[in-house]
Amino acid sequence: MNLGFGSPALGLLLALKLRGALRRQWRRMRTPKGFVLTLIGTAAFVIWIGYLSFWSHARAEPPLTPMAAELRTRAFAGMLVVFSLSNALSNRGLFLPKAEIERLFSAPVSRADLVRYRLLSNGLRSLLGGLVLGLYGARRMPGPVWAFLGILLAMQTLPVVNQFVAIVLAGLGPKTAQRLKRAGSFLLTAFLLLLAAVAYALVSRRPMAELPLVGAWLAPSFAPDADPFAHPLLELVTWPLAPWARMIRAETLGAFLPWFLGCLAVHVLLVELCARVPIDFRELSLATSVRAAARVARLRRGGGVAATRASTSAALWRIPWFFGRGPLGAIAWRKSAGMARKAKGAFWVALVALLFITILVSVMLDGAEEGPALLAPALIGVLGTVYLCSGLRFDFREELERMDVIRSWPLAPARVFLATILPEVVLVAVLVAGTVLLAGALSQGLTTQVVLVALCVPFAVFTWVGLDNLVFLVAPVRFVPGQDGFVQNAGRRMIQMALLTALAVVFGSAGGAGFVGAGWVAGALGAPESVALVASFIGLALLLGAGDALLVRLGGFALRRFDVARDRG
Amino acid sequence: MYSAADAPPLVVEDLGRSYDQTRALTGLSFAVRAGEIVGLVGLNGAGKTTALRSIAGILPIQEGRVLVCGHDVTRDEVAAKRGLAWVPDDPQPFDSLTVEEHLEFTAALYGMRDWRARAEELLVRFELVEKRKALGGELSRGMRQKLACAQAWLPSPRLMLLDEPLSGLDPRGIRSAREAIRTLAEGGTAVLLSSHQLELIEALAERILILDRGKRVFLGTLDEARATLSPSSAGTSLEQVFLAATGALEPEAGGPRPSEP
Repeated sequence: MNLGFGSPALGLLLALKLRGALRRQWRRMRTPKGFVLTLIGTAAFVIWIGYLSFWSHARAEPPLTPMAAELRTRAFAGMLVVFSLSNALSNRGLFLPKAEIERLFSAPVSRADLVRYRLLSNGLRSLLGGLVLGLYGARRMPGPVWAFLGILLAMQTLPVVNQFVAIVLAGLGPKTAQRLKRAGSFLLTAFLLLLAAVAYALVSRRPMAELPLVGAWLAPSFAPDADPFAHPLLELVTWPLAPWARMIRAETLGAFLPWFLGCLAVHVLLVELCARVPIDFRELSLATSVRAAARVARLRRGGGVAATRASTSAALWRIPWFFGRGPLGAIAWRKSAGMARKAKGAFWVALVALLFITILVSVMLDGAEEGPALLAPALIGVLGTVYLCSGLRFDFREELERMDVIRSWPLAPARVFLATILPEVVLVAVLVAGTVLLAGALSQGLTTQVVLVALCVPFAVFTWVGLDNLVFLVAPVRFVPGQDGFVQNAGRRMIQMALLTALAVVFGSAGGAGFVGAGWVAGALGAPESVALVASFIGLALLLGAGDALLVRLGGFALRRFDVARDRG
Repeated sequence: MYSAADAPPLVVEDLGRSYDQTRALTGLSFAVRAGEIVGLVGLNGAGKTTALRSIAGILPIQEGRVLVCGHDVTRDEVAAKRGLAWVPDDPQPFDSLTVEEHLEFTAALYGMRDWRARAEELLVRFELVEKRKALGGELSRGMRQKLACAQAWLPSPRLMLLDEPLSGLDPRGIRSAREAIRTLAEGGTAVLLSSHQLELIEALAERILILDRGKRVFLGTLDEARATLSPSSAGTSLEQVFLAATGALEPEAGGPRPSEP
């Protein structure tokens, strides 16, 4: 079978792989558990797609004006292109899975055919993502159908751009790639500093124009009634994306078709350029494929920042034993070492998450006069905890491949559970409480509410991390995009989320009851409002603390019952 | 009853386990004495790794009982685990710890105080000296295996469980690991060694335990195995005895299928 490109053998391989994937999917459905998980996973997808396709359209949000639609499309597409280019910088050459690379590089097929095969595989792989993004992105576009088709084409072209750049970079040599990488890091740092400036202005409620250096430059985007995406620099930088944006924001078929045909021609041209560019990428591809395989293996172990590669230079650092020299301290030390040696990733993820959360909370509560005193720090605390914990994952979620070793350690399971989550709890608590205090100091000063919220953050973080890990040990799941059985894993993930939500409600309600109850008792005893507030927070901390102690026991029980022999997707 | 100090390092009584519909182990009973090496052999899927993992306390015990140094692995889990060390068939070191730190971590885990001299000795024995500052994630398959061995050897356990300890090792590594196992047993440690390399078992083990589809089909010395399982051919290798015991070798016409002694 020839799927429209040179080598029939590669076409056959692609077809066989597709058939194999379907067969594996079918086999997974044949057990009762696999069938139920498939049903749940499929239902989740259907509901999600249905929501994006119909219900979200039914909500009476007005469509964007053509100009706003174009600007937003350009900004979003620009972001995707930047991600794609940074990926190409790290993965130069042609990426092929470990199982294929040596077989195909030694097979009698031309390099052009290999590239076409890879591009087609990538295109098929990004089809689902394009579909979801298309449905989501088309919702508020002037012509949703044309927007959907346009986004689908754009999402098919993105991997081609990525591959083209990766191959060209392979020909430019390591020094140029290194320089480009450094330039990329510099631009990213500049962007984050800008984001920090925006967060500062929003939190401190200062006019954007008053910011030093960047104030005058940022002000037009933040003027009342201005579109924040309407910035001259953004328009200039994303100018090459204008045809794609015009295609996506077209209102009629007549407006859509010329842009669509033009973009399709660019797509075909890029595919052919990729295939014919005379660059020998084999050596780099071998290195890239080994690196990518190692990354996928790390992702399978847990994902998040914990899946980044430990810095080799950091191997020379001496990591302090923060939690003592005993067995519990040793386990916590091992975790601390992992965090310290992957600190770069942890730092960026934490910084970006906390900046976005601070901006989000400031925008949400903008104009509220009374609410922010307690609500803003509390929201930053809760959202910061949830986002950081899901991004960092320096806990049991990175240990799925090593659970057998962990189970053989001579330490009570409850203590292993405690030692494993403790370093992450401390790190997240410090980061989130620090953000609460900083944002509070900038906005309303270090009020009693802000300090009390910051003091309660460690208890809340412990509760969330403990719950997350407890649920993981009870219903473990690893989710790597594109892996086998992703429908079943989506089903498992749904069950996990439902369990986590239910437990979070129970523990949150207990904490809330402590908060309200203690405040009420203090009020009934005639305590002044400030004392009642302190009593409320003490009640909250006590109840959460008791819950945390219970969680350690439950976590130990779940670890004792953990069956390392079970299939986990 | 034994006190913990003079109890046999390993007693397994009627151990059984199922995975969903599959029976992995049935009624497995045996003991390993101090200083003894018992070779655990069986075809793929015979239940060797399941048995080792159950003994190590990695898999919860579904049926039967396992005593390590007199401590029940289910009831007195921590004390039992203090007496044993385990080398998995595919060790996964911690990506972000150096080789040296793996040993430091193991020492703390087992509450060892003066461990540095022994760690140095093990780094030399397992040819890890030059890799002492390398991160776990950077090690090759063979180096990971050597590191797992060094970690297991460090606390001088009374029971050593080895699951394919030589896989991935180069010829020199195989020789030094083989020597290390022998020395360990001479020092009084009981060793339960699972391997498909039958010449290794033949060279090291005093007794062999043959599993077939989760059941014990033989436990005894090699001579006893020859006498029981392949009586017509004195001096046959363990390989022939094993193949006869597991039915992988077609029995001679009219010859009986081996049964549990």
